Amino acid sequence: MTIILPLFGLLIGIALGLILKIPIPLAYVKYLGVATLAALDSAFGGIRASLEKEFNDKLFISGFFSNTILAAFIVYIGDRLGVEPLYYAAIVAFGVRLFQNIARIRRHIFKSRHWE
Amino acid sequence: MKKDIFHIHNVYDQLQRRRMQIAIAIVCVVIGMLLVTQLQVQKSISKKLQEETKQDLGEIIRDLDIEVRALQKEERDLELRLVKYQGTAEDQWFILNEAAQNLENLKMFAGLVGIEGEGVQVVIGDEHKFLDCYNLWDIANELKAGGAEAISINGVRVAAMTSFTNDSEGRVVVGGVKVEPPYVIKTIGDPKTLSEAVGLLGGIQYTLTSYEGVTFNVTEIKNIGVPAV
Repeated sequence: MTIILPLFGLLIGIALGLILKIPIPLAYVKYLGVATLAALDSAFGGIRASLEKEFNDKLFISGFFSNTILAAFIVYIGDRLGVEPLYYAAIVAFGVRLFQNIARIRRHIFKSRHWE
Repeated sequence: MKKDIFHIHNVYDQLQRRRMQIAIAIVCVVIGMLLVTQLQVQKSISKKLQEETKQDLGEIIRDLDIEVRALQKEERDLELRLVKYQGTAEDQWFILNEAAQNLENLKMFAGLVGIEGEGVQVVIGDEHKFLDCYNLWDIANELKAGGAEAISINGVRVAAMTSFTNDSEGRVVVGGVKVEPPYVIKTIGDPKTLSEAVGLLGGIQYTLTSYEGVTFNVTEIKNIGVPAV
């Protein structure tokens, strides 16, 4: 039951994206990619927190937006400073966190189902 | 009391859970939008990259340039060969022409064709029929030595294989044809040389005119005709 509302939200988001077809200038594609990665990381972090009963909705929402914007900002700063590899730093950071969150979610599911 | 606490806890828990769900749902909406947009843009970019990278275009242009240059070189080579072949053809035409000229000369020499041109006419009178075939033969040879291209005696062409004989009645037979004096010898060649050859001191005219009744009359003619054999 807990999964239905988020899933519904995801579907709405996909539909909105398909309908609106937001035009993104080529130069900003990089930012959008990193922001998407950060958003995914936040979402999985939220799911993990809820499973660990540490969920705080204000923290979650603020974290989601701040992480997303920060990710894009880091890439922007890298571009401005001529340190484009900073982009990879953002990708690695969020990628590692994504893996960690997913791993912990899996562990929680295993624990709750007594599969261990 | 204990029950109440549990109840409150449950209500709190449910509320908490509902809020959590809503929060995650909102985030999910944004994530869905982000994902779809990013995927679409990425797809169009890779498509564009496939279609025309600047480098690729440069490479294509370079390749085409090389191909064009190769084709131009081939064209030049072919043109060169064409010119060469044309030259050869001209050469061949020239050779053919020369061969035809040779053939014509040989035909003239063999007496297969009639000729017209500058020459000399020698009229030899012989009242007493003193001259025989050998004398005429000498005259013909003398003219030949003088550069005659063609000789005819009384309309009979004298060529390499022409016979000079005397018949039983003492008449001269040239090439199977009986000839009677006066002998009209038509010769084509340089008139001056020919007349000199005939009128040489101690030459044929000098020798033959010493006989009685033999007369020589040499005239240079601009346009004289010698028939074929």
